[in-house]
Amino acid sequence: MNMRHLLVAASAAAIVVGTSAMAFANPPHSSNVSKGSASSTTVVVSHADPNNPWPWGFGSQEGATVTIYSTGHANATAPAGGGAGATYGGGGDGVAVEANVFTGGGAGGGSLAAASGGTSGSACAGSGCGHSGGNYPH
Amino acid sequence: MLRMTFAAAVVATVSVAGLLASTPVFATGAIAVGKPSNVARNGVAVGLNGDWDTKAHARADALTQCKATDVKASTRALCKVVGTFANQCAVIAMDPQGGTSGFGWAVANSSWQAKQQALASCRSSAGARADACKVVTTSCDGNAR
Repeated sequence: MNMRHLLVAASAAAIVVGTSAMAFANPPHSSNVSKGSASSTTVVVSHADPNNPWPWGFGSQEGATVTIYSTGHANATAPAGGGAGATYGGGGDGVAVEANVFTGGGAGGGSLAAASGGTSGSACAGSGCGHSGGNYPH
Repeated sequence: MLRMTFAAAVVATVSVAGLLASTPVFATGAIAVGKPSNVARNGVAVGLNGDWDTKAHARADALTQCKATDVKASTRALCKVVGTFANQCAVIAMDPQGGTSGFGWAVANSSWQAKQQALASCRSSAGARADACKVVTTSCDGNAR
């Protein structure tokens, strides 16, 4: 292999490295959070950040309704009610979790029982999981 | 001569590769908050993001997210962009029970720093329910973690 071959090989390797680095750049992600004035809380997450899964179930208020929209990556963690991989899931009695998970992640119970009142829902993995969690899944 | 050309090419390509590896394509985040004077009575709304391509896009998205929340219209109307950030983390902490006042947010160089600051802000506004404050979301931009 002469210098010309080495030059071509080095350039090709650099292109591969550069392309790989670009491919792993973080995609844009957004979320919103709100707290209502009454005993209800709504959390909406879109494009959940796979690097920042929420460890807490959120719908712990009795009668609260939690809505999740997660279009994040395969390992994104839906926060409310605990997602697959969440530490704490579920909510108080009467908490309804409506999940609309398009890809990956999952809504439902976390790995541990709910912090107060509720029960842990079934763990959910892979795409299309949802519509579970709390004592009154629907 | 060929040896010098090769060396220069290696330096140049490694530099470019390093630059690509350390500089994300998207590297702007924004946070928008709609916070009335009485959070317990009127609720609070937040939109936040990260890794957007431009500040303008990040600001517009954060505002859209904030105004899409399910709170009183008067609270949504207060939504405004309160900051943009790059290679930093934004954290929202609140007392998750509706009808309570605890709420705080922060932007810092790491998620740990931002969490401490957001929790402190929440606790200072939560009154007797300071212990109820929890981190509810974290959004990191670029290489910040």
